Amino acid sequence: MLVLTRKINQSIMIGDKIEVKILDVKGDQVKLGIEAPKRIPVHRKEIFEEIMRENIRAAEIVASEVDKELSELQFLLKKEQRDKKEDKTLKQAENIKKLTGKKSKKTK
Amino acid sequence: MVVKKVVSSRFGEIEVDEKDIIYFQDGLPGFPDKHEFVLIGDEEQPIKWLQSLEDGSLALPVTSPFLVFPAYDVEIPDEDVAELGITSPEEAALLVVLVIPPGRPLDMTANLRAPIVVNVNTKKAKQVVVLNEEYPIRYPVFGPEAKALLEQRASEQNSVESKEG
Repeated sequence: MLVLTRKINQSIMIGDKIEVKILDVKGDQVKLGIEAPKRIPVHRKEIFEEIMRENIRAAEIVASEVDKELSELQFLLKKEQRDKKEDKTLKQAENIKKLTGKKSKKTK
Repeated sequence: MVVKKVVSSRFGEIEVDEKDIIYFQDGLPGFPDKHEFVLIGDEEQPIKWLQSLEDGSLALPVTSPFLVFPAYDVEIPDEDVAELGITSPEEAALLVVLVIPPGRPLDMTANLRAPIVVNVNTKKAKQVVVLNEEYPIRYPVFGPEAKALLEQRASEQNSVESKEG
């Protein structure tokens, strides 16, 4: 890891398009200003960790007995589906249908 | 047709046509070494399952973000769009991951900040972080109205059952 010491209002460049500037330092908090082209997403590391945790929580449901609860949820969402007949919603529903593994067979 | 067989916890043994395999080059956050998935679910049902082909016990419930939040309008970073080879909005299918808390299904949340984007033609997919910072990772799917409706439905079913009994 490259380690650099900077003062307030000094910055570093990553490549020739990304600038990271130290705006302020207060106690243990550092305020950074980041300028990057729009095509480069800049996020706090925490957001990736949060998404990771959410996926893991989402996957846990499989292990538990939720089929009855699920059918209720399906009912509710279906009702909302009927209520919202917007173009984009329909187009997306079409796309998702295309993705669904048609040949997948269920054998219980 | 090349068929792949997988034994899944939720669906038993499934046969998947290779052309239906959704491929995540970098895996999914939390499951970085899982690349092949298939979308399973009834055409009629809004909640579907993204079933891993490499781990039968791994399946994530997903749905269309537009069902959860009709005004959903995302800005996907150019790099992700390019990586997936998407050239027009029609080529992309969006799915959001659902977290269904055990015992409290009505408190289900959808991750609107990080939708799964799939190129419908090539089946290349990626869970991307959209540039819209206002979209939450835990967006409540149901409002008070839906909760009331479900309670009403439950009490109707109970009264039918008690009449029959």
